Amino acid sequence: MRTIYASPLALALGIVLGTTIPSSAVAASPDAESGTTSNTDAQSATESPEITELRAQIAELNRRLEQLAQQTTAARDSARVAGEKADQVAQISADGYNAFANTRSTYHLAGYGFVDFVAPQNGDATFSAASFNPIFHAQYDEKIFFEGELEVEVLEGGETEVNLEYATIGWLFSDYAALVAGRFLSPLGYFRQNLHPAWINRFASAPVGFDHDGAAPSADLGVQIRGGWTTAAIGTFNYAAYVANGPELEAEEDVLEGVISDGTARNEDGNLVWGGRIGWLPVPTLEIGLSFADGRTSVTEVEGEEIAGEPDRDYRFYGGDFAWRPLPALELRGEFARQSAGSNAFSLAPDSAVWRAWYAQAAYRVAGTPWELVGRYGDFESVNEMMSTRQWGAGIDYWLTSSTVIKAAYEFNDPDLAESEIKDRFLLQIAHGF
Amino acid sequence: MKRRHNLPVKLLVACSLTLAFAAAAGAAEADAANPTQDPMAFARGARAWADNCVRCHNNRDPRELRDDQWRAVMVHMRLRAGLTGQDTRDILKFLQESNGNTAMTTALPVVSPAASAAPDAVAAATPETLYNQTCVACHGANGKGALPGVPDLTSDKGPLARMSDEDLIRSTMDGMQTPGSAMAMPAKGGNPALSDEDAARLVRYLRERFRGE
Repeated sequence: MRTIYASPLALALGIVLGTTIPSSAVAASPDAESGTTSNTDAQSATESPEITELRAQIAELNRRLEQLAQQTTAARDSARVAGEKADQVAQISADGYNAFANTRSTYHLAGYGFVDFVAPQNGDATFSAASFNPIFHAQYDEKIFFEGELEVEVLEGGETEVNLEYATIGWLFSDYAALVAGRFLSPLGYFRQNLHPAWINRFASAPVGFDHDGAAPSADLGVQIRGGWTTAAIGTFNYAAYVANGPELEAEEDVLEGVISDGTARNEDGNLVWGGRIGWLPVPTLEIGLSFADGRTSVTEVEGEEIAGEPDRDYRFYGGDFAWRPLPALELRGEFARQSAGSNAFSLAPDSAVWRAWYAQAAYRVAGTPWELVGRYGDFESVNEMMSTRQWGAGIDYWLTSSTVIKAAYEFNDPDLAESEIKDRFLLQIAHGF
Repeated sequence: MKRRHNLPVKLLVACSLTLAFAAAAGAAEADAANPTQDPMAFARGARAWADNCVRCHNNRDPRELRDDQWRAVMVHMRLRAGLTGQDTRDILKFLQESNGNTAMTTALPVVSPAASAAPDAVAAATPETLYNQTCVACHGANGKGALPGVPDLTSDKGPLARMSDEDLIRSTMDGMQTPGSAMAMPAKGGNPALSDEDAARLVRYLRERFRGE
């Protein structure tokens, strides 16, 4: 490499030198014409000082040229090594990426969390809730999908409570249907299965009757088929049909009080509950849903104590829901839910009972800002009159990101009984979905 | 005293029949609806993404997750929202090609098998086709915005009225975050094949279509 660079330059310098040195001097110095450096002392004696100086300059230039060639070679070697390392890093990066992406199995952690602050009328302002809801996804090929959600929340006394919200194994055997088995969010209605996560719910609380122990079932343990299909003529449909253990009943003294619908792993009454929901979207901005369930149930809890051997009775649910976005910034939605338990003269709580709730909500995103205005009206009628109330709510949301929101709201409650603990209250909530 | 109903048995039989029918239908469609070389999958995905996510929540920015993460999330969303398999694959393609991992995506046939089909077709498209295939998902057919926070292209205060051609082209190519919008517009509008010339033609077309200029 050194020769390659040095020789042409020396030759060029020789040519330049040949054209620069006076012809008289060259004629007096045959060695200089031939370019040799032999008999230096003799030459020095005969050469003029100018030629001697030029020779010294050539020697210095040659030395510098050699240094430059060495540096160039070193730089090229360094560049080659750096390039090889860059290739290695790129390969490692690609391998790492492919290790996640180009496999038959994929794992992913999603979920959400929220913090609540509540200031009730004539009560103490409290940071009332902090919850962490991780959702684990595990997919094998495009056909098998497991997902499970935990609800980890702090209790009043500071203890931590962990609940399994759902855990299901799905078999996506067709483009239009999937078989889902496990503990799943109830497919009846819309709020409980799709809108209850705090980062999705536009309001800082659930509508009355649509939280736990309301008129809408929370979860069930069984199997369901769900999916959707599209028609060119009348729009898109989605559906879910299920068979599950069904809810249980709790009683207070000799009166039914509530429905336990969190997805129990037992079937005390010996009969399964079946039902489902069908949703229709005639246009993408409008969805209308109908839900129905039927089966048998029985009392399993009296005044907080579990009991067995209670006779079974009818159970039925029906409901409807809609969501409409007449403008991109305006969302209107509403839902009705009614579940009932029949009578049984041989039961500790012989009378029938009905839990019924509905709500309507409007949310408007102010153009060009992260602000959103929310208004909601709801009504819940429970056999437990202490729970029955009508509720107005107004709120304002500030969206930090598409899945992070700070919500402020005020609820005006009008309970059926004056002694009810349901009071007007101010709510603050921050929620993040990931 | 416990009375047994036969409705669950009937339902199980009905479900079994449904299962068998759907399995047969699924096997048949597997041959017919292979999206691998479908040049319209990206455009359909953009449309389906805009239509379906907002049924429950704000549209999530495609750049929030990697390709493989979107793969799992989309199956979750298929089950939760009752999407068809085709809608799910289309939306996944849109998300994977809009999240900035395009180079990786095209090299990963398992994750995004259709990644190489669309660019040529899109690159040769007219500005109108480009808009109707990609931009319309967020900006809407009328240019007023199909999602909350998306700026109104027809407005005197909108980007077409306020920004120069150079700024619009740069914003189109680099992506931009509109104040108040839940998500940023992805670089090249999420279309990795979009060139500077395409963006320039698109800007001229948008000015003519929505501003009459």
